[in-house]
Amino acid sequence: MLDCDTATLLITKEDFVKLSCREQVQLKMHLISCKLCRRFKSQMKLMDSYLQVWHPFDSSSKPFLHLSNEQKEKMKKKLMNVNQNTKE
Amino acid sequence: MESRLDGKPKINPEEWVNNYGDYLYNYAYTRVSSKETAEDLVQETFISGLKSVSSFRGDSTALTWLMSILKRKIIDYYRKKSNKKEHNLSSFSSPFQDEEGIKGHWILERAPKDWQRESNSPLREEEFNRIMEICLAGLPAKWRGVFVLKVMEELETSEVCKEMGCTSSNLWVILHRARLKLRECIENNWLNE
Repeated sequence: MLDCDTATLLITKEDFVKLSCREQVQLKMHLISCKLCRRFKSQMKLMDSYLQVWHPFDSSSKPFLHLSNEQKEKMKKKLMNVNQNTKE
Repeated sequence: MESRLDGKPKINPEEWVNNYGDYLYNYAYTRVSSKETAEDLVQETFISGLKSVSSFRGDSTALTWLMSILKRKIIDYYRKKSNKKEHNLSSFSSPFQDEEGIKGHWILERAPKDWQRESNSPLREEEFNRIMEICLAGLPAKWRGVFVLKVMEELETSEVCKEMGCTSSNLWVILHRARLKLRECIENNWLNE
C-alpha cells in the first residue's frame, strides 16, 4: 500500500504525465480508503481552478496593480537614453 | 502607437509604457512575487524591446512581442536564482510523519482540513488572489521557480529542468513540496482569518 506522502506525490504527477498502470492502481486503492488524501486531491483541483482564472492574465484581464506616474516617468526616461537599433 | 511596425516606424516608447506598462507589471508580479523585481523586469523588457525593435516583424502585436521578451526574462530570473544557494529550504518541514511505523502518514495537525465545513463561505476570487500572492512569495525561490515555470508559464518539463537544473524526477518532488506548502499556507491564511 502507498503511504500518503507517495500518494500525494502521484496526485501531483498525474496532472502532468501519465502514471504507469501500477501507479494508477495503487493510487486508486489508496484513495478509496484515505479520506485525507481524497481531500488533498479535491483541494488541489480547487487551487488549480482558481489559478486558471488568476494566472493566464490575457488581454481581457484587468490589472490590479498599477505603476505610479513616477515609476512610469522613470521608465520613459531610461528608454530615452537607449539607442534604437533601427538600421535596416 | 501603431501595433504593426512597417516601413520606417516612428517608435514611441512612451506609448509602450503608457499602454502596456501596467499589464506587463501585473504579469511579472504574479510570476515573481516582488514589486521591485517586477518593475525591474518590465524596465528591462522595454529596453530590450527598444534595442531589438528592428527584429520585430510585425507578425504579432507589440504587446505579444513585448510579452515574449518578458517571459524570457522571467525564465532567466529564476534560472539565476536557482544557481544561488538556498538557505531557507529546511524551514518547511514535511507534513508527513518521519517515524518508523508511521512513516509517510499525514501529521494530523497539518493534514487537509474540511474546507467546506470550516469556512464561513466559499473562497472568493479576490481573497484567493490575495492569499495566493502571500503564499507564492513564501516559497523558497527554487520551488517557486519550478512552480511558476511549470504550472503558470506551462513550459515543457524538459525546459523547466534545463533552466532550473533538475532532473524530471526531481521536478515532481519539488512541485509536490511546493504544492504541499502552498496548500498549507492557503488553508492557514483562509481558515484562520
